[in-house]
Order: sequence, then C-alpha cells, then structure tokens
Amino acid sequence: MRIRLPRAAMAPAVLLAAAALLGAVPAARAQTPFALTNIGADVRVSDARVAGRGGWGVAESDSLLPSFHNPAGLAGLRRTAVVVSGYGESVESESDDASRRNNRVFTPSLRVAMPAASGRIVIHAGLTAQRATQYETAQPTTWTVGDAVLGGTDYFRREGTQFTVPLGVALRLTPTLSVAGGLDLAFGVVRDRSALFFEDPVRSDGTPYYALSAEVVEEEISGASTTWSMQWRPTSRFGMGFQWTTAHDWDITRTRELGGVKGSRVSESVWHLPARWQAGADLRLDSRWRMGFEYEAQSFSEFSGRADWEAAVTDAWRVSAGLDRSRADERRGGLGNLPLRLGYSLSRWPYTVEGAEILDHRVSVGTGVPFRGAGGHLDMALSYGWTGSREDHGVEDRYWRFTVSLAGLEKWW
Amino acid sequence: MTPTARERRIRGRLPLLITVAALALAAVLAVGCSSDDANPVGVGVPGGVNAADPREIVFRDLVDYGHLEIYEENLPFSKNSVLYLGRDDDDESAILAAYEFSAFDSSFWDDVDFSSANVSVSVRLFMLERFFNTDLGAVPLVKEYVVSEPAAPLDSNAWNAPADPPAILNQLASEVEAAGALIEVGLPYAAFSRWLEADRADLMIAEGNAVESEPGLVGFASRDLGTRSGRFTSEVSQLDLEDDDTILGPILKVTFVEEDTTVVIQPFFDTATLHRLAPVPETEAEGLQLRTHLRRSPYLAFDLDALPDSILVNRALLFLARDTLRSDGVLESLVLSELPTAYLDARDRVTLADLAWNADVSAGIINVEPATIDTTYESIWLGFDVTGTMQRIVNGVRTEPLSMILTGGEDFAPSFNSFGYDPDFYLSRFTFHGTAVDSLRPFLSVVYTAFSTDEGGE
Repeated sequence: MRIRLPRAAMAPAVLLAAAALLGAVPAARAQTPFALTNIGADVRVSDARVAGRGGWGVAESDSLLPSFHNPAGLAGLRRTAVVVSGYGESVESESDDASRRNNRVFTPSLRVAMPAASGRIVIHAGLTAQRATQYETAQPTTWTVGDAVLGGTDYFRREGTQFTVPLGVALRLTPTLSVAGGLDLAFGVVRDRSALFFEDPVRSDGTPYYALSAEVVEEEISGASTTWSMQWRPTSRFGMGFQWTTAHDWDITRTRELGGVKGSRVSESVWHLPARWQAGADLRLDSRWRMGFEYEAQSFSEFSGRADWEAAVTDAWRVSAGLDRSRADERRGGLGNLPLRLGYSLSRWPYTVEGAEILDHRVSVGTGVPFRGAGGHLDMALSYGWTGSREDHGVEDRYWRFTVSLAGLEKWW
Repeated sequence: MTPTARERRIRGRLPLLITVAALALAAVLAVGCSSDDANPVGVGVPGGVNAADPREIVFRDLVDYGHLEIYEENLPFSKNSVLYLGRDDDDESAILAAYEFSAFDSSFWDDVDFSSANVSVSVRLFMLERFFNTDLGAVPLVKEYVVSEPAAPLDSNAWNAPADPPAILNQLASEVEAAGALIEVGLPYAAFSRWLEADRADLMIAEGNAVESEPGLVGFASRDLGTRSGRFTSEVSQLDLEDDDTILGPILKVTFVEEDTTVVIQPFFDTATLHRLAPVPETEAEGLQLRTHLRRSPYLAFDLDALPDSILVNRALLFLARDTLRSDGVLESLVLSELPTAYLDARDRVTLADLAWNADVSAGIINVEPATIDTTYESIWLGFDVTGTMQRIVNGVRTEPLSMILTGGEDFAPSFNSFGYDPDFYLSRFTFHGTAVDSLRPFLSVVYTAFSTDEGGE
C-alpha cells in the first residue's frame, strides 16, 4: 500500500524525521586537539547554503530560502520557516610521531522564524548545541618520585557541550533596509579530565603500586550577549550586511575534584568575551550567478578570565569568498538546473600554539533541491579543510565536513 | 514553461527521495561516530588542566611509641601448642609435664610382669619440623636433654605465666641428641616403679650443660597441639609424623618386652616455663619488636604536621629496617593496623578481642612491598602499605590522632593469616631498628598528588 502524505504536510514530516534521526546520533567521541575551551574550533552550525559557498551570507536575504546567518535578512519572510542544520566531520590529526582520526557528528541547530507582520516583522528563536570541546590525548610518561621512577600514561580528555538560545526580532524599515536585534543565551558545561595512570611498577597480580591520580575540572557556563544586525540592498543586484555581537561576560562556576580526596574546590569567576562583528556584501553577476564576500573579526586579545590562557589568546578573524548559482527551471536543463555553490574561507583561530598563529583553510562546494510547491529545500555542502602545521604547532588537521540543512516553509496562520 | 513528463515524475518523487536521503545521511553519520584511541597527538596544546606530577614527602619524627601486651582471655598460659626447650644469651625455657597411670588399672595388667626385666621406660618429644628440617630453613641444634623430677608435684593451676622452673629432686637421665623428628630419652626403671606406686609422675625436661649442646630454643608438640578447637591439620602438619593418630605431647613410653606391647601415656598437664625471655625494647632508640607468642606488639606514630591538605595519596609506605640478628619468623605474616593513639597510650595490656574491636587493618601480607621482600629476603627493609590509612587521615575520616600497630596475622585480619594457625603458635620475634642509627630508623614515605597548580579563573 502506498501512503501519500498531504502535500502541505510533506515538508514538516521530512524535517521532523531528519531532526529526530540527527538528534538520535550518538555523541561524538573526539575532536581536533585544536580546541581550546569553547573558543577554539568554529563549530557554529551555519546552514548548508552558507557553508557551501565558503561561509559568506551576512548580506543575504531571500524569503523563499531563509538564512539565519544574519537575522536581518529574515525580515521579509511571509511564511513560518523552520531550519535544521548539522554536520558530520572526519578529522585526521597528525603530529611528528603519531596520527589520529576522529569521525564525529555535530548535533543540529534548530532555528524557527515566524512573521509577526507579513513581510515586515519577523520574530525568531532557536537552539543550537555546540559540541566544541571534545578531544583526548594519551602520552606515555615517566615520573621520578624520590628514588623511584614510575612509568605510565598521562591522559587528558576534554568534553562538554555549550548550548545557545538565540531569540530576536527582525524589522524591514524600508524596502531596502532591514535591521534585527537579538539576545543570545549561552549555557553549558565543559569538563576537563586529567589522569596519571602509573602502570609500572605493578604487583605480582598486575595491579599498579601507585593509585592513579584523576582530577576533574568542570566549568559551568552561563551568560548572554546581544547581537545587532542590518542589511541594506540598494538594488536587486547588490546588497551588504553587518552584524555586531556585543562584548559580554560569562559567569563561570568552576568545580575541581581530585579522585579519592574528600570535598571539591568551587570557585566563581567571570570570563570576558570580546565583541565580534561581521561585514559582507554580495553582487549579482547575471540571472543565476552571484558572488559574495564576508569578513569577521573578534579581538580575542581582549579576552580575560583565564590567566593561563592570556599568553596564548590572539585576535581572531575570518575571510570568506565564493560564488552561488541559483536554481533554474530550464526544460531539459538536467543537473544544470541545480543550484551550485563554491567557496573558500581562511580563518585565524583565537589562540596560538607554540607561539604561532593557527590558520584554518577551507574550500567548499554545495548544492540543494527544493521541496514541491516551494515548501522548503534540502541543501548540502562538502568542505575540505586544513588547520595548523606540524612545523609551527607540532600538529596539523585535515578534515572533511559534510553539512546538511533542511528548511521548511509553511503558512501556519 | 511546461515541465516534461519525465521532470514531472522526478519532481513527484522528490519528497520521498529527500526523506530517503535524510535517513541515509543520518545512518551514515551515526555509524561514522568513531575515533582512534587516544595518543600523543594534541599533547601540549594550551588550555587543558593537567594533573600535577606526584611528589614524595618523608616523615621521620615519632610522636608515639610503645609496646602493647596482648593476651587471650580464655586461653591459659599452659595451654600452648608448642613447648620450648633450650637456652641462649637471652632466652631460656624448660618443659614440665605431669602424668597419671590409670592406663594400668584394668584387669588386663594383673598378670603382666612389671619387673625391670620386662619393662623399659622413656620420654619422647616430637620436634616441630621448623627446628630440624633444613628444607624449611631450620638450623638443627644438637642439645643435651636432661630429665629431672621436681621436688614437689606440679600444680597445673600455678602456671598461668612464665615462671622459674621448680626445684629439682633428682636428675633421672640425660642424653645428647641431634635435632630430628623424635627425641627420646630413656628413664630409669626405679623411677617408673615409684610413679606406678604413687600413680603419678612429674618431669622437667631441660637443656643440660654438655659442651656439645648448642644455644637456642627448640619447639616440641604439646598435648594441646591441634586440640584448641579440634585437631587442626595445619598445626599437626608442622610435625613429621608416621601416623595421623599419634598421641602428642611429651609422652611417656612404657614397653613390655614379653607382651610385645608399648603403652603411651600422655601427660595430663604440660607447659613450657619460658622463664627467661629477651625483653622487648623500651625506647625509640632501641627499636621495636613484635613477639607473636606471649604477644607484644610495637606501635608508633609519626609527626604528620607537614602533611599537605587535600591530596590524593598515590602510595604511602611505612618502612622498618629488620634487625636480622634478632628476628625469626615468617615475614609475610606481619600485619599493620591503625589504632587511636589515645587508646594505646591509655593501656599496656589488652585482650585480643578488645584489640580486634578497636583496630583497623591497614596493611598486611598482600601489601608488603615486594621490592623489599624478595625471595632471598636479602633486604633488611620492609615496607607496609598504609595508603588507605594516610588517605583517611587526609580526608579527616579519623579525626583523632592515629598510631600504627604491628601484629601477627590475627583473626581480626584473617585474610593475612595464610598459615591457618594463630600467630602465637610459634614464638616468633621480629625486631626492627629504632631511631639510634639515622640510616636505619623507621620512616614513612607518602607519594601524593595535589590539585593541579593551574588556578585559571580563580
């Protein structure tokens, strides 16, 4: 028996199925070693269209293909939009004497936008889980204690998830100018586990002489920032956008526990995260092709709150550029009707390793297919990137990333 | 622009294709969540909190020291499993035994010839293998065994503690013998005749003054060996016996030649005098001594003021240096326990049951430092694992000052008592150097890990 869903219900059904499946994906086990707590690898989940063209999109506004990259671009929306995005990644990390592959999945970002006044005012909300902080290392080590030499493994694991809840409103002030303002709530926990396994000497039954040392440092994060955005599209061929996330503080509750020792040490502190801004533009080249550019910067050298990081933090930036060919409906057009996106981005991470800046290069390609009746679309992007260098940092990453976005558009009332 | 029929078919299938694609993608991603085992890749990247390296702190100053006498409330001194005989510079002991002759009361003996022509009498001792079997590490001693009659009958109730041997009426016999499973000394018929008449005999067996006699104590089976609670196979196995039903103790053996019969008379009372024993050390400088029979247990405590707070104790060892010239016994049977210092300082003598109630075992055979107790026993240092005790002190589980006491593998520490008999079965003594010689004094080594020095955000 063939089941046919009503046409209007098709897109939400697909979205729910995909979201449920992505949500059921088990936790990623590890990540790149280039991942300082929450401010390391950029794990913000852009939608696949933005990812496919290299990360630019702050100037984009499309009521049929809504993007949350810049909420000001949502202001013209006439239907409720739901977008689920996520990506999987395979990272090969290499140092001089070892290599390690990690395959992982980033839980989806869920974003919803609803028109409050059709074509003029839109409110939006979302939930994103940024699994930014999971990797582990194990280093064979010896320790000299008194007259004894102990052999074993120095183990470290960082794990944790940071959630953000963006809430905001977008306004179309004029047919060419839109603005948006929003509040981003951030919370989560990052946990560092470090352990010294003393594997030599051992007793005759194989159990180690020395009890392992295991320390857990857990940082509970809570904070909020505001983001202000604008878009200006003076002509149908050209647009530009700007976005500013204010400097803000995170309240950190730090709990430290040493295995086997009674009690824990709890301290409160504040991390100051500097402001971040993005600026970009796009230009229509012909009926289908556009090119775009975007620059993002965050003066992370103004970060404070972790004295042990201060020597390593540096200003972060990202530059993205690329091309976007829109979908066509040519008869016998075949694959030529599909959208095509190409892009490149270069970013500098907000901290140094071995005193050297970390550059992250990424090239991307992407495409997508629409749902029937312009009820949404499925987009995907494939990226290849390389981060750091063995010469400068002692380790380098090469990774493949596959990003998927599902967007649904419905008139809910 | 009108789509072709083929395009319409493709478009019609798109939702299904999209769903299938999403399902396939999710499945691939789910299966693809994997990772190689952790390795050095990424070591040194900043931001992590690394556990602090372990450190050692050594304690040498004692704040508590002493010896505790331990006894069993319902176990009289005379109810020993092993009877000791012999002497050396520090110790001396003789064996006392009393017999009665009801074995000859039956009518069977009415027609038997009890004359000296038909009867011979001897006293036989069963030596424990530990004192003659060189495979067990024994150093066999030649001894002169002298059998005498006390001036007065032995009063079994009077022997509740080590005491000088009784006055002697007369010496009955003496014999020089090498160590072996059986020691037998012939006795004069006249004495037997008197005993038969009096229906009682009292004997003292001691070491004589013959030049061949070698110094040292040797142990023999008592009538009580293996009978404290039934016959313990493990205790009896310390003897080299031909017959499992052998009557034990310093037995009288009466042989009737004509009847080809031997009557074995077990004493109704026997004891060792242990009237001279090397005293246990009295000062920190002299050292510590654990005596398993007539129990004396040494205890000590270190000044732990310098012990850091909030540390993980990876390993803590109490090191004692053996005085090998004054030590004898099975090292693995030693057990270290923790006790409140106040409890120890308030008494010199305690029952075993009371000690068991108050003591917590800290370390024993399975935790003795194997590196210092190798198969050749060459190292004089013994290390007792007191990791648990030290962690409890750090964590404040025991708020009162604690001392550590050394005992044999008593019943309250059964897992360490691997030999199946009580520690007081043998008169073992383990002597450890005191504080007189700095390089040999007791010390406590604590290897610990503190909280990492990274104080980010604090």
